[in-house]
Amino acid sequence: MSVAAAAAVTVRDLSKVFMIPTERHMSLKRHMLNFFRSSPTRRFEALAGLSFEVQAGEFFGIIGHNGSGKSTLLKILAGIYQPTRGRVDVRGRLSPFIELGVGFNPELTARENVFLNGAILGLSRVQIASQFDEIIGFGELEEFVDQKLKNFSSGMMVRLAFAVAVQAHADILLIDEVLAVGDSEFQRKCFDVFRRFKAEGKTIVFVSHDLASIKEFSDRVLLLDHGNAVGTFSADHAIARYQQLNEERANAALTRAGRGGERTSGQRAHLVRVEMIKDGVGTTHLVHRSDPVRIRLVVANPERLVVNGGVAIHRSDGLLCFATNTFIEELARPESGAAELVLELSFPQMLLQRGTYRLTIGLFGQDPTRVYEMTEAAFELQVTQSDTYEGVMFMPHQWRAT
Amino acid sequence: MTPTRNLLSYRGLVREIAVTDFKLKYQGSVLGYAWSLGKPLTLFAVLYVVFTQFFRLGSSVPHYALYLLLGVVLWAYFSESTMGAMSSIVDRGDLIRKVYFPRILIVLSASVSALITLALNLVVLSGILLVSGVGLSLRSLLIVPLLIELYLLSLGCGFFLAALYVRYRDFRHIWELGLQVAFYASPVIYPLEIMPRHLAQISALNPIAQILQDARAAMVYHDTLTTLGLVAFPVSLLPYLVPPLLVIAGYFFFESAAARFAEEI
Repeated sequence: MSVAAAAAVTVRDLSKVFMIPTERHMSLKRHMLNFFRSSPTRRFEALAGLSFEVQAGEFFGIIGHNGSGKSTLLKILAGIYQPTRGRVDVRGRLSPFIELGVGFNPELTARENVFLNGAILGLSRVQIASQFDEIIGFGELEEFVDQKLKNFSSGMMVRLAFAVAVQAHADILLIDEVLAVGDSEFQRKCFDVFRRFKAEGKTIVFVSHDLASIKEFSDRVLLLDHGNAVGTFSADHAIARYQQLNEERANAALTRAGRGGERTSGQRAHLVRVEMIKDGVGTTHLVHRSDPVRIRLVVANPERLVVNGGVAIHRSDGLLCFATNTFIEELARPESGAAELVLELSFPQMLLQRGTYRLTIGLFGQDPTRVYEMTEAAFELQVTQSDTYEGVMFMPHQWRAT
Repeated sequence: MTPTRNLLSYRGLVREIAVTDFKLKYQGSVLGYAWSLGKPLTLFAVLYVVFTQFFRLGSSVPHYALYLLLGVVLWAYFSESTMGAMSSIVDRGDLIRKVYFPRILIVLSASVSALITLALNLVVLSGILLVSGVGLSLRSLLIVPLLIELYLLSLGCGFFLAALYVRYRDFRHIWELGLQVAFYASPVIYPLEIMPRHLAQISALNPIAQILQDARAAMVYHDTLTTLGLVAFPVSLLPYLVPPLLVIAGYFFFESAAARFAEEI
């Protein structure tokens, strides 16, 4: 009983179901006929009956694969989404935002943005004015106060956003992947603030892919898998369980032919298959480090559009190892005459170290914001190595003694 | 369960968003705020030339130019305010998906932002009234409750439109059409006096017509035909009841839809 009373956040049997429209383009006539009826939808259960408690003063981590429901959970905690079932009880004032710099406008100066962003976070003009110097000082932006935000680097923008956010007088802070941005010195500064908050008895709910910071800071960690709570564990235990789950998923994916995973498909150009080709071997999922390898995307392009392709390589723990696309390479892409086109990416040497990696494949048009398809875990590959070098990648190197 | 805070504690947010919107609207334009005056004044000039020189519509009422100008300014507010409120939620989609605060504040901000333009226009109009010799009197203060009525009417429409527009983008076109019809159905450019009496009586039940005619009676010409003058007593109160009822109904409609905005935008 006393434990429940001390909980800052109590979540009971929380479910969230999204109804996703399955039909994108309706004819005008059908649209008129269906106008006041809802269009056909597919049911997607993002959270399936979660229960957990966050104790007051706790640094509470949440981890899980992409699509496990982390962001949905955070949005429900923040009040942005309403739960479909179940309840969330919050004791104390909760920060209502899940992202930094919400509402920042590039056409306004840093000063104007601080007041606007502060107001969005629920601060009064007087409160912001009294803390204005502190905010600017924390962000180290004294010289840029009256410059428009569009002239700021992304690092400066994050510093400003974080500086405002820490002023939001909340007892419970929700933080989603903030630390993916900013330089390491600023990250340390952020964590210093978190430590200070913790010392002040504030509660922090922290979602991240960065297992190192989860491990370093979290008192307890909730592990999510496909909208279900696997459990709440100590950081070490949670990370071990998470990696184990990833392995299981990887093995399942390896045995599936071609590709699996989550796929959001557009109507236009779409992926037919992904292959990895090793010369003299053919298609495979296995590659030895330092061997050459090619990745081939076979794309159906019935409308003969301009198609750019992108490949991102994620390690099984979510770390983005490398990403490239035909757009940054400025590869000439005439409109394809054929209804099927093949994009091939070759690596003269596989430089990644031993482990399981997943490819996210993107297909987009002339304008990179026009996404035809974005498929996570479209392909899974294993890298083996016979030596004992450690680290993320193999760096070609030489030792010399003189 | 949502982070509840007193609505009053958010008044700073309404002001910040409204002022920012107004600022950004004219950012990068050389004449800046002058455009917010220039647009209705140009419309007024065109209408004035057309309807006094070609159609001689205005000969039946004294001070037709002022009569027309006041009509155009108030109409411009209704149109800008409702269009702005309609798209406000969708335009702020990034905010709604990432931070919680009462969604209704966004619609309120849009209506306040349009009020800034109206206030500037009314200052210019008052100047013209003084110069033209019609002048201002205590009676002119009657414009204040009429402006409140107009604000409520616009806000009530805005609540419905903002919530509907999230789900049905068709409402942009529907409302544009509706505004066009209403523009000609209301005595904005023509005097109510030119209508046959039985049609004028029907027209006067339209709250916009009622506001325009009452505003003209208050500021331009005392004996303007008003709803109270045209329609028998209990029925003549109808248009005055519409704005407050619309705001109340609109509020509940909006609130019932607001919880789902973050998912639907």
